[in-house]
Amino acid sequence: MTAEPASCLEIAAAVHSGARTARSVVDAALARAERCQEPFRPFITLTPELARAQAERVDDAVRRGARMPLAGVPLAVKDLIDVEGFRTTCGSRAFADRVAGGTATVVEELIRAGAVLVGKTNMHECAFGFTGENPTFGDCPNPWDTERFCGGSSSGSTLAVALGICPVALGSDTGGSIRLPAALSGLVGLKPTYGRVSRAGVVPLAWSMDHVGPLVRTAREAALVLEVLAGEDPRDHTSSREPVPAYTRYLDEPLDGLRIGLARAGFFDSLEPDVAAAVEAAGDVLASLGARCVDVALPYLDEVLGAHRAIIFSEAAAYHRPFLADRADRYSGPVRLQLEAGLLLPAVDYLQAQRVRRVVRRAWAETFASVDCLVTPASQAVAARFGTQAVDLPQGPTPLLHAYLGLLLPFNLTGHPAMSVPCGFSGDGLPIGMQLVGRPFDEATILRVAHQYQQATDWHRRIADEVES
Amino acid sequence: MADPHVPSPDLIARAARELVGTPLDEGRNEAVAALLAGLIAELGSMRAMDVGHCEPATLYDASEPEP
Repeated sequence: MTAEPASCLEIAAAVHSGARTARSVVDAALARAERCQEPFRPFITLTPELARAQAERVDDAVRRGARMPLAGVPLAVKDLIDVEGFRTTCGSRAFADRVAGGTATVVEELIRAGAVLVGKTNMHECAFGFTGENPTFGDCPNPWDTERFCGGSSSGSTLAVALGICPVALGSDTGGSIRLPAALSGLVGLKPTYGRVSRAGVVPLAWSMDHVGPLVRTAREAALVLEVLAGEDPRDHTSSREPVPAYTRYLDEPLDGLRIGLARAGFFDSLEPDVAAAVEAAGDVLASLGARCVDVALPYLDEVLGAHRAIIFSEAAAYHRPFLADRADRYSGPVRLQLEAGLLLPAVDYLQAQRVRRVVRRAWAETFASVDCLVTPASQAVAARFGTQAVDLPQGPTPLLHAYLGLLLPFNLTGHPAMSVPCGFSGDGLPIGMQLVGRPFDEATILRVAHQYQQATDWHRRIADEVES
Repeated sequence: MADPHVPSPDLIARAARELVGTPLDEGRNEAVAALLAGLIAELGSMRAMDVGHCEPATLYDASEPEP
């Protein structure tokens, strides 16, 4: 275990006080990014000239008295998020030469807040997978055991934070692609409510389930970044007009009387023993902080998986159809196969999935009437070795999709805000994550629960030895 | 008789060409059929779910008021 990297708050404070310049911070981040590229391959494109120019603008502004919440904070963004003049590959050879004509709203907002873009990160191809393996730009190994995957699809963004290159990186989450790699790599990953954060300038996987959010080390940083990102965007018609609270203001409020739901049926049925023990212990910590844990039921979980599959395959195939027509051979085999299968799903299945979605949301709204948030494991197992086909769980060998996304993807279908928070380690020294799920647009509550939990524990302070070496 | 839930590679090839208008490359039909068969199996409970008169959530809004 080694020293904790500087947080967003520490960097911004140092830049504002004059202890450091944004330029020196970004130079160090770029040097570290180059050192870490092998064997971790977090980046597809580094943006050193842009980063240094942005850092110098931040330093000039600070000298003139400006205050910016993310002054000089190095930032990485998943390579499906547009930055004008740079390629947006989506992690695919099919888009390797596509150059963005504009910049995504989320990037514009973070730059305006003082962040400095150091690069665009590796990812599971087209975001249509969850291991972080990538035949074109290289696989992303787990910092805690490089023979295992770090999770995806936001694999490079996860590594950029886990390796101490950037304190914040943006990912996207259509079925768990922020929360899973965060859980498997020991980070905090936040998927806000659908519509809370703009998707303008972000290449879709499935329009109606895509969410953009941050990967960071702490809930406090997640709250700070969400304050910058959240809000209506005229460029994204699905972005919400719901008022944006000051998330950081609520973090220190105690949890006394907060009602936390444990959805044991369906979420705790077949876990690796270390995962079960860690999440149960996390529930005990939350209870010791004043929360009241109660058992709740979320109906229709079997139907949710099918609805998610029908929607993701159909929407992804619809988006990629024109590209399949003229460059199918540039997609990797597994992703191409999924897209081609999606072309052939009946429209009635897609529409049934959207009807199921509405029924499920109504039913789960009743569950949320009796609790303020849910706690679940983020995954059924810790990170597996590359090439693993199934995970041995108490109920038998389980396909990776079910073991790693089964507890996360329901909240892409319903749109609830959800985040993964480090809550322990397995006997093999691999990180374990718990998932917190809130009511729509109530990110403030799950951020507060996560922050209070992190004040009482130190799982998030642990750094892999591999990172230092 | 073939399992009606498992599409044959020949059906896949024809559907892609004649219904979707995106022909599959030679030799891919079998792999696509296998994946689709697995996918359709996962849709079973969703297909069978009674959704009453509920209409599809076509434009998704998490804050949409419930009737």
